[in-house]
Amino acid sequence: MDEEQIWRLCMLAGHQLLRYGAETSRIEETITHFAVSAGVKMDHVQCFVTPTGIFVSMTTPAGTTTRLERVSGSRILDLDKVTQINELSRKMQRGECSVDEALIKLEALDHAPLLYSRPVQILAAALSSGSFTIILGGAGLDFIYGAVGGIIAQELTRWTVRYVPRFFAVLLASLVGSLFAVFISIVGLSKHEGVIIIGAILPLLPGLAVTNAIRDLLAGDLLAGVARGAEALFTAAAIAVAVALAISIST
Amino acid sequence: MIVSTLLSALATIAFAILNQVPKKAIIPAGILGIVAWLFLNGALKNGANVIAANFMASLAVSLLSEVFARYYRMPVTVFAVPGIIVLVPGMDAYFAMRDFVTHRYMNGMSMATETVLIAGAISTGLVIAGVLMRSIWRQRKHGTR
Repeated sequence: MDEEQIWRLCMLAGHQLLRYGAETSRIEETITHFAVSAGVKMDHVQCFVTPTGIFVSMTTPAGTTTRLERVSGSRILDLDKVTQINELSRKMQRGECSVDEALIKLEALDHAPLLYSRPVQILAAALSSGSFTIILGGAGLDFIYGAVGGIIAQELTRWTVRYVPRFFAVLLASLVGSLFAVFISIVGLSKHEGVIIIGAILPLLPGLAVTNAIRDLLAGDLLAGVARGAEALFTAAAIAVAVALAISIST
Repeated sequence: MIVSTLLSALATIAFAILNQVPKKAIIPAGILGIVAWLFLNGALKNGANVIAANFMASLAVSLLSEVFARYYRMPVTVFAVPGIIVLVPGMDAYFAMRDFVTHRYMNGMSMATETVLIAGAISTGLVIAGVLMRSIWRQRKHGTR
């Protein structure tokens, strides 16, 4: 049993799951599963995951070691990679995969391209925002305006999230998206300003943060649950302020 | 009605793609979008309160997400996150903000309160589904209680 390899596997898996948007209890379970399948005794692994750091403690014949990894930087929401890491941990539990093989797969995942390419994502942003404008009560051409607003908001978020925390990125993106809708209505192309605004920014809402916060709290991970709940509230407040700012220009 | 049902499926699928869900989860996500929309509007048409209607729709979506998650062996979030997006009270929030901006604070407060209550109802649906599935799952795993 190569201890250093086990450590690398556990820390990398935890780091990736946290960045790709998994729930806290899933991250803790996966780290434990990896360690146990690699030969560490079940009650000799302890881990504690927060939204910005991972703590793991392991007892092996060589003694007890505790390591800490700070996780910062932007989150890339990627549920496909969360699922893949999940499958990998199950595979290893069944003994179908060794520590080294798992490590190689995890490292490859970091550089793997996104499941859906950039053009597909832009199309998805357009379709989801466009559909929402019609569902919420828009008509005809509002689909197009909503779609364009959605693309603007989505692409702007993708660009700014590299430099600032997510809710600032969302603030900026929803402001520009709403201003676009206000512009459309001032020019006279559509009467449904509200519908276009909401359609454009609805995909920016912190759906994953809310769901994760609830699931964390349910699982008893109070610290992570509250932190993620706060993140979701900040993001929602940022969007509300951006919309208010944009509407105040039009009235 | 048919158009908006199909559009809610399309919106849900597109939102799922934005969250990079696995390809196998795309069709179930569309089904969840339709379920959410039909439950919400079915309840509203039968005279249910808007908060109760959102709760029922969210509970249906969350339970179905838990089932899909077990069946496809994927995290629940893969299904629940796109599933509830159709329910998000976007227009209520917009009206609240518009009222605030135009100094109609009382109207704004009532709209904002309704938005918060709907969001609470959606979360409650998620919570109840989570608790139910957790207890059923434990039972099967351990055989007792």
